[in-house]
Amino acid sequence: MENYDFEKLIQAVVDGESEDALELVEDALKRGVSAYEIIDMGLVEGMKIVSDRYDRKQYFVPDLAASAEAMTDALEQLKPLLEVQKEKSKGTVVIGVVQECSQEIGKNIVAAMLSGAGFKVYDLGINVTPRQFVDKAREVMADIVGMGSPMLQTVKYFAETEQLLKQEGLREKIKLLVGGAATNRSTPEKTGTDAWAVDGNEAVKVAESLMEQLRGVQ
Amino acid sequence: MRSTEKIDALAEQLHQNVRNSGEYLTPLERFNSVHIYNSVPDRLLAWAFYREYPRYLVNYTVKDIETDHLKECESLLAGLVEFGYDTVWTNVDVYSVIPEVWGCPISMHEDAVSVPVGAVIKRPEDLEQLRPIDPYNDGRLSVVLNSIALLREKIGDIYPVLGHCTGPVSLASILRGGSKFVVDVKKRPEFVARLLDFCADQIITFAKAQLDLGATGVHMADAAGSPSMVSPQQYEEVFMPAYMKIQKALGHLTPSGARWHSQSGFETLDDLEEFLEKSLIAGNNIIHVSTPWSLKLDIVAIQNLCRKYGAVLWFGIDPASFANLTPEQLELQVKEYIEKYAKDFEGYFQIGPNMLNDTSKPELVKAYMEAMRKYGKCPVG
Repeated sequence: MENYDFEKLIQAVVDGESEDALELVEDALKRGVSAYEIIDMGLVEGMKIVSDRYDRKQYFVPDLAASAEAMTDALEQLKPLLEVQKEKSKGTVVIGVVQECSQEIGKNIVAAMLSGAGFKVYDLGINVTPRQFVDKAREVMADIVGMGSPMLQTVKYFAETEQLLKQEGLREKIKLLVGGAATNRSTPEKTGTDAWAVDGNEAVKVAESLMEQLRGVQ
Repeated sequence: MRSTEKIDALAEQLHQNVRNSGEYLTPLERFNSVHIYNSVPDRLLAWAFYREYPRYLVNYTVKDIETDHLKECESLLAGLVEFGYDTVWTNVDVYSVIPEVWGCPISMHEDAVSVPVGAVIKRPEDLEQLRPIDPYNDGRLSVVLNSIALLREKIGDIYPVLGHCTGPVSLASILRGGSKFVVDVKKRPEFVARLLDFCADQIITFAKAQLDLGATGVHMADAAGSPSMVSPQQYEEVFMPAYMKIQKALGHLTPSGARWHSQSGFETLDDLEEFLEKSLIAGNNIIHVSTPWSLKLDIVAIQNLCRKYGAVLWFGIDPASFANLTPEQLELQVKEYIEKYAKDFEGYFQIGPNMLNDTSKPELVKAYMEAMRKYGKCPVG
């Protein structure tokens, strides 16, 4: 691979064109580009442009979701190649939308962006109970549990998950990152969790900072 | 005692309570004063969003009240007797009952509200396979209708009996799956328009049935329809036609009309007032703000918009206040909000817990109502 031109792949992510992204990933692999280069120089670069446009209010949630879908599909295609390089993972995240909730758009975007940024992400989907979060976190030795709550009445499940982690002796090893339409910067303080992020972009930065904290503890 | 006998006893108790309250208006008259006439009531309208909360008073599970209208009515009436707020709503699992009709998988729990957990429109062409709902015969829609009819019969002369229905964007989002739906908004706007139109028709059918059985109004909950979900242009071109269709079909059927609110997210809009004005023009007649973050908004500007369009500001108090404060602290908070925001807008204002949930302490719900009676007398101040 010499001087592979990532521009088309970047554009496919920016435009949220999954099929184009998949074809371009296939093409890049055939030309000898490594999975990590495709992620770093194609997918992540594309998502950076998307995030920037979102911050500047040129892009909105549907644009973000389409790009996240393109990125997730491309990552799925690359997954078998990434498994062998697991040690390069920035950290392990278990993510999901809490019990009684079925709105997963924000969570999907965060999961895609964390994956793209190099985290190993286990997505539990929607309607996830505190017990399911804790069991999965134990099983995969998670560093971070990410929880989303789009509704006010379900924010209580953040605290319940935190308590359950504590009861099971896992709390010191696992950081809790929360978000969702019904949350704000004061949510961690109220729920005993560690950090909050407004969107996928910030979630990546916050997750990296939480990993730093964990390494500090170790 | 059988469930029907308990309901009769609770309804009789409520009639006695209203007669002996020493207040000039009944809850229904207070509701009408605000929602029909925008006139100053005797006391601010105590709006309470409580859904499954009072079930503990009658020892039922959430599943019990989601599947049995007698149990739902008993729970709702017990809550009214215990706490004395001014409104009663049916349909605890507002987001599940319609999607369930078409086989959308629903996760039901003993102690949590049910949730749709799977989509039924896997491909856009699947939409053509969905038949219109029959609210009297399909799934648990009759639980909602039977509750409304029974509540109307028992306490409809003194309390507003509010119907409850999911909004079109939430329904569409559940049927298609949240992520797919929002991507469709970008990539397949024509399909989204057809889907929303279909959803609007089903909502009109279900809401009409609720109104036919005596609902005072139908509240539409549309959590996924937040303006922050899409661009202003998409909101106007894709979401608004569905809202306007519903309002056009239902608005004339009851003096207080169909009503909906944008659940969350509009606090972040740069052009908030412009959005709210568009929403009011489309027929929205409740604007819902929730503390603490809404306190940063220009509430008076929003109230002036309410006055202009005959709408009502729902001032929702943070559920955390009902879990963490002392009764004295909550009383002070309610007093402060009333003095600051209700004065001169009494006919355009309702205040209450944003959402009561299992962390809410009964003594705090009572403290809220006591504060309402103490400081909410109108005119305020």
